[in-house]
Amino acid sequence: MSELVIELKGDENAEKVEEAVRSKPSARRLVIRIAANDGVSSIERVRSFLVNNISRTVIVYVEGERDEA
Amino acid sequence: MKLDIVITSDRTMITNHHGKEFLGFVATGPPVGVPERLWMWICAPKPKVDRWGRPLEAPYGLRKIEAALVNAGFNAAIIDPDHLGPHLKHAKVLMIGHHDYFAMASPSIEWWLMTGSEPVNRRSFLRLMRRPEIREAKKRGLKIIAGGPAAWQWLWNLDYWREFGIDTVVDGEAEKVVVELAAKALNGEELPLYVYVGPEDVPSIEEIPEIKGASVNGLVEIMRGCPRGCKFCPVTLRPLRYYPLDKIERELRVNANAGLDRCILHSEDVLIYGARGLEPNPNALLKLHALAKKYCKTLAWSHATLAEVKYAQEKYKLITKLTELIYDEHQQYLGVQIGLETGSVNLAKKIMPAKAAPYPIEMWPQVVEDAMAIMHEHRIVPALTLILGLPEETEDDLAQTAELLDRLKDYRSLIVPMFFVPLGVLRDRGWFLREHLKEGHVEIMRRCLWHSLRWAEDIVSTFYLKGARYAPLRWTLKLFLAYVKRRAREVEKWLEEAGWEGVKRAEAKSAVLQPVPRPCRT
Repeated sequence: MSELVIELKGDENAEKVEEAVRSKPSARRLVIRIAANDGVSSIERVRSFLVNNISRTVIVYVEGERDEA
Repeated sequence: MKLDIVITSDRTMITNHHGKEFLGFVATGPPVGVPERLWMWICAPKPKVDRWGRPLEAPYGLRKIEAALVNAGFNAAIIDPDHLGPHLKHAKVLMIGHHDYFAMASPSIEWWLMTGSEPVNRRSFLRLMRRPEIREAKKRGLKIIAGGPAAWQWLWNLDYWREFGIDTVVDGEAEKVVVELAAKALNGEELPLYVYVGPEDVPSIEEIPEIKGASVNGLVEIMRGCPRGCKFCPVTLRPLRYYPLDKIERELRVNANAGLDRCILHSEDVLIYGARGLEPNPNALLKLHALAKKYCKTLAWSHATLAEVKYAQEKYKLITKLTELIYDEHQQYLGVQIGLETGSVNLAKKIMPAKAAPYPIEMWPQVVEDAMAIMHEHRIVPALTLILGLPEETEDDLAQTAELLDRLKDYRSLIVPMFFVPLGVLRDRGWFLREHLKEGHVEIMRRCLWHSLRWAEDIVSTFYLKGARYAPLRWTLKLFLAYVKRRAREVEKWLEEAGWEGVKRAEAKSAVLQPVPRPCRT
């Protein structure tokens, strides 16, 4: 299966994900790596993409500190 | 028994609802007119458990996860929420699933918006996650993975995601991916924060594991997916897969061996089991039901569609043949949930153009009425759902729905209106919030209420809770119905006196409940 790895740095967000998907529309699995120290809050940066996605497997990693419970 | 992986949920999920699946819907509401403890007893009594706290019956979805993990060699089991403590001292992973974690799905969100009071499913789940045994295990390094059909709700509840220390949220058919996640968690490898399982990563029929313990009320899947393509539905996005009869039989046997003598055949439309497109397969259906009756004294269908009821009966007399097979000294009626959605042809064309197939969508109201007549004649008792607040809905759409409801008044059924929740292809649309309520919506809700109250009393006494064993529950429900009738008359009188402008003024003064931020584009 065609996989696409997308790294988000700084303020990069769902727009970068959408751009990456447009550049490789055949990708059926997306691995999104968010460089951030804000753990769960990172989801907000890609939420609009996640909510609209229905056709591809998406795996989101946050690289950095996770929030403590 | 020292488990590495504990699978659980809260009480509203880990229960068999007194053996009456439909009572599970009571858990989507707040306690109305009775104390919460009594409400919880009505909908979610504690199930039987063994000495390790493993419930005799557990939610089917959790059973699939349990089976996937056990098949892969993990030391995993479903544990009742009241028995987590001893297991969490040693377990490294906690997996949780739910139908509606935060009461954001219908009908929970509707009852919450109307009453201003949190439904018990949400209350119960939050209580579970705040238990000291989970918090302490988390401090010791427990990994928590959340999934199930309501996994999407975590995207809108980041505060709870943080508070409970959820390591990974998995949305979609997780039987394959959960094995990878379990291995990562136990090996101390990096876990993803979020996984969405797309159509190409779902398990094939051969890869779907078979349950190892009994499911709540004997529910067994017979297929996955649906070909109708309704835009509000997430299930239709999944590939269509039919379980072969031997696979179904193995799961029926697991439930029978646990002492269950009832089953629920689960599908988005039982009548298309083994179908070619939407053309029913009478042979497959008759064999399926004969098989189910071999193991169960009573059976129910989870879902069907009105178009298929009409078509199957007209072309093959299939409803007659199936009910002749099903009904005997143990069972004289059949319950099923069915989507009515709307009475408007115009709206149906936009959001569910194939819902009436093989009939043209222009025939939708007639298809509905004909199917209801067939079901009434055959003592099939549907719980119908309508969707209010669909995108592009107009006043005329509401009027047509209200008119159709009048035509259905003599057919034994419950009709429940639900507020639109953005899912499926429509998941980027706006939520239906209380301030969007129009007079047309209130009129539909009023008609649904009186229709359902009329038939609920009949259903409870004549069919659903017959016998001395159910007398306390039956009387409690009758008292509750009497209370609802009294309140409904008070509200109607107020509506008549205040008029619609009065309603809007009163609403503006009251706290507008917004359980979620306004997340989506309209």
